[in-house]
Amino acid sequence: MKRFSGLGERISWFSQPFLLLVAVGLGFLSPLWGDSAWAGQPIEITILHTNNVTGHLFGCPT
Amino acid sequence: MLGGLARRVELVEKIRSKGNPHLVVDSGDLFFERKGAADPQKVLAKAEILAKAYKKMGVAAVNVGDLDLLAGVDFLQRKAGEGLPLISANLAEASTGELLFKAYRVVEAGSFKIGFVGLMGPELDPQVRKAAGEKVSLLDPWEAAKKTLEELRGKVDFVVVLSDMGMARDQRLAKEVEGIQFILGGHDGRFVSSAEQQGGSWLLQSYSKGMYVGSLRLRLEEPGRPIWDEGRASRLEQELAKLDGRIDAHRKAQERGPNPSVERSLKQLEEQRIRLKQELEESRKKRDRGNRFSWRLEPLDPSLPEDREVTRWIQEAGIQAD
Repeated sequence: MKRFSGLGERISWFSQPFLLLVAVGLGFLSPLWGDSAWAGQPIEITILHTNNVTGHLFGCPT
Repeated sequence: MLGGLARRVELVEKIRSKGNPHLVVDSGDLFFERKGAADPQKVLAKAEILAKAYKKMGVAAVNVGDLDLLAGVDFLQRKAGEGLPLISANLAEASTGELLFKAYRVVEAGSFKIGFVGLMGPELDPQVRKAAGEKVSLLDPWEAAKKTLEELRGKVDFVVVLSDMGMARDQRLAKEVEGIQFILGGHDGRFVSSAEQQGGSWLLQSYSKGMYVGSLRLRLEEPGRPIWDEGRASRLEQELAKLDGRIDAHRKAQERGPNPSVERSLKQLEEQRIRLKQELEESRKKRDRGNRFSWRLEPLDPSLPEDREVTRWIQEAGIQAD
């Protein structure tokens, strides 16, 4: 029992820096993607964008 | 002549009819221009038509730009009340500090969620300030972005900032705030034919006066991994072809007789070619798999059909020109 307990302590002690590195790495790569329900099923989506339309309803000379 | 609201709406209808998943967004300065028409009624009638047309397109988010305040904040709040999804994370009620619009909007595509965040610059110029009145105040956009992204953490898979701050401030935003995948900008209305990367963000703009529609096609399959520009490889191929032409010209010059200056220059070009070739190989590998995007500015040229309903709205309002 004591032997298992000691092994557990060693694993825990060794794993802490490793787990910290994994957590920091994931956080750096994906600060927002961590809790996602999206598991990476391929998705294709187009975003159509405008800016500075400034009230124009008609075409403008190029 | 490029542009036209009725053409823009028809283009979106065409994409919708093909069943391609798409979202329409605007980065601000949608409704008014600094030197508006002399007739204020016409200016407002045009803004009403724009709001109606963007609703018809099913717009996902419209950022409030500084020029949108030229008819006062009441006009915008009325449009928001009528269902136009106006957002701004840093436009606040002066007396309370409360935001006047929602800071962000989350749009879902199946299990995939995109958060659109709205930002405008940190100050208003005197003309806009006078029109907006003392009711509004502006919060620091960079701090507002950090706070909003913190709120969005864990709620979305992807963040797009709709910015009316201008390219220089967008670059600062990308450097200072992590977790933004794209900044779709405006304010300075630049023609951006290929995306600029700053930190982990890609920066884009779609020119001005509605002459073009920016089309950002996303193909995503690896949560948490970076996104690559599919167009990078073809641009590098073009650069390589130009470089090969210069190398050939140098070699021909060398054949005509020894010239140390030409020889030095040729050596530099050949070294440049090796670097470019390596970058091209890397880009080709990334082009066909993983998270990637392509960007195109679609010109709204006169050959495109116009949406009849929008054309009718304009005619009924008696508007014949901007």
